[in-house]
Amino acid sequence: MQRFVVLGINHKFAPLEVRERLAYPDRRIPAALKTIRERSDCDEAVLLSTCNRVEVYAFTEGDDAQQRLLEGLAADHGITPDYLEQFCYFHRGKEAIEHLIRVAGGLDSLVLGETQILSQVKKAYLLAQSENATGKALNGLFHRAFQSAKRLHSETGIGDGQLSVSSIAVRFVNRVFEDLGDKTALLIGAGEVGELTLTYLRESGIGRVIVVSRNLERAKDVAGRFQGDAVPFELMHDYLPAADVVISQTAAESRILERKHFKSSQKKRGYASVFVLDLAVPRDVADDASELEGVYLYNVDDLEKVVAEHAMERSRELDHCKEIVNDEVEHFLKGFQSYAAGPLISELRSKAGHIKQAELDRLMSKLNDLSPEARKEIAGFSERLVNKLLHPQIQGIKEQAASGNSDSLRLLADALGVEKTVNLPPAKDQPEPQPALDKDPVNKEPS
Amino acid sequence: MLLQSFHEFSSNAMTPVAAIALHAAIGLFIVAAITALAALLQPTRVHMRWADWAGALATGSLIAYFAARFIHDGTEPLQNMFDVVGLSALFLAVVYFVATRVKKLGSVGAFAYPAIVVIFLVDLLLARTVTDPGTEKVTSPLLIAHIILVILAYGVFFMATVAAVMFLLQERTIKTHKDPAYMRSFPPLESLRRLVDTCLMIGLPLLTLGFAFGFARFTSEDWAHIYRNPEALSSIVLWLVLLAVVVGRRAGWLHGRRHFYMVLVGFALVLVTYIGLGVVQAKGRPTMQNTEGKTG
Repeated sequence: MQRFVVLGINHKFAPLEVRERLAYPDRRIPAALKTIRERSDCDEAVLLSTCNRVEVYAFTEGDDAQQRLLEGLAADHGITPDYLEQFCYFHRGKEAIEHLIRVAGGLDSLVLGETQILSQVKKAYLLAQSENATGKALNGLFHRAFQSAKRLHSETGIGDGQLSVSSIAVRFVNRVFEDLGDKTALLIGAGEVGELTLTYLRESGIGRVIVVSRNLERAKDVAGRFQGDAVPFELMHDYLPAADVVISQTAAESRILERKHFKSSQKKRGYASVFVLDLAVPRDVADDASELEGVYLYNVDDLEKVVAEHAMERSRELDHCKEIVNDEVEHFLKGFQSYAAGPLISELRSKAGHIKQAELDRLMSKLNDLSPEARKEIAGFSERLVNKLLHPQIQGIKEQAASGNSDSLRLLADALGVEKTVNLPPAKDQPEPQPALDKDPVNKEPS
Repeated sequence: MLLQSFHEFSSNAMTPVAAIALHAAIGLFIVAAITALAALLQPTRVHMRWADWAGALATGSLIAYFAARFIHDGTEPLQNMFDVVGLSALFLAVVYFVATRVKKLGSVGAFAYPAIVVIFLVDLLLARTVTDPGTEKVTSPLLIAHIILVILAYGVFFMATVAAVMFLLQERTIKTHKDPAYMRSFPPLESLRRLVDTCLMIGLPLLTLGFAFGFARFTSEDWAHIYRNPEALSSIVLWLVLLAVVVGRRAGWLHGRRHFYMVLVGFALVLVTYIGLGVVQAKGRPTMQNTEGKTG
């Protein structure tokens, strides 16, 4: 178990410039994997590189795994291991397994519970797999991590809610309107958040975009990007009744949209709902407009409060996530450790089978007068007897293996006289041999 | 007391098959309501589709109950308030299933199933009416048409009320910039508004036709004493209110929250005309002297 290791840097321990320097573009990963495996002497390795982390997951022997991985990674970037070490973390065994499950589940991400990391981990794994850099150990571990991530998101609220002002705004728009295809968005002024919100609205299928700006050329430029119409600022109020979503982000020093404007607009609209997003500071829209029927007014502060609430909700799910992570780690450990007992059990069965067959042959040779039915009965009896005698031993082996007690297994194998013929897990002070997994998920598409 | 009267009713007034189906339906609707509320509050742990499965089984059981009742007793179920209210619950369930299949209406079940359970709880109050002596058999085709149409209309209005309550809750949270987790699966305001409008547009013609059949049976004496007939009067008021809601909405002078409040007023009137009078009847107060088992 101690052969699972991870060495890496992330947003918590390394500044952006270090992460930028260590990040791998996709095309460089195959070569990097090869270099790291050769220099670090790893049986298996997966290289995960995102904007927030660079990590090497490996299955390797020896107490110096950390140093070897550090040297491999440093050499690949032409930096010294000492420089790299100050930003790195290293986990081994259970901690390494737990780390991967947390990373895949978004629990170690900058935005808690985000799901993009899962696809990045999958991509890194598939890339390593295609380079034949993974074997049964890392295949088993990564598949467990993918299942765990799925469980974390389905059984907890860690991925619920949105954590950016623009996505929250679009979320509220979608709570007002059923179908955005026949709706019109009016963008007044131009700003980064306003355009980002408009991008999200376009992705959500908003039907028409109108851009209003004091600078008509600028309005045309923005409208062109969203396949919309540009309108001079002076005509803004004329277009207000047509708008179902109003996004305002001008540099005006006073309100440009008063209650009276919406009052008249709402009358013309038959009091149909209008979502108003005031992203300007100072604000563009008068507060009292929100009192009107069908007007839903949000400013930046309102949205940021909701963002903060969502972040709080996610963090409240952490205890539940921790339970799931522990459960998944234990599940993986039990499964992984029991693989080592497989050869012992087969050897035990095989040995007992040989003894049974030899004794059966000897008995049959002395009882020549027996009918075929009687011979069949005796053979069946001997089979059942051996199975029943072996059953408690096999159960004991499985339990010992699942609890990770390799010393007991070794003693048991010794007592049964099968120790030399099977590859047992190491004693606590010995290096662990290559495990054998029952199921090889190679070439299986991760869920 | 409620359970006792229900037990007496189910064991004395119907076949064992109908009794089993009715018990199963009520039990499953309670399961569906609890599951749906849990799904609303804990969407990551409980799924609304579990409530829908329980609700579908409950609806199936209720259909089996009415099939058994009508096969065994003919039109008798149409003359006791318990079955009439039960039929409304059935139609509410059917409207819910149709609406949620036509459109994705998350969380509506968290309101529809509890509404059905409440209807059944009220229904338990009415269980003894079936055993009241002196109720005439429903034989007139006009009356049968009246009862069925009114029940259908009430089922549709119940659904409109469920959607109106959800609209008012959703609208308030959006206005006040709140985003509680349990409301994230609510349908958009626009969907709820359309659902209410559709239900009203379907329900009002059904109710109009139903009342027309009911009043067609009135004699000149009934008309002369209509002001002493609370059931008929409240039916007229209910119809006028619902007509005003529909016309007001179409004409544009009833909009926003007021529109939905009026739907709730309409629903309250349904309760008064329908269930309230049923309870009064159950307590033995005279109502419609010359109309047999009238419901609306």
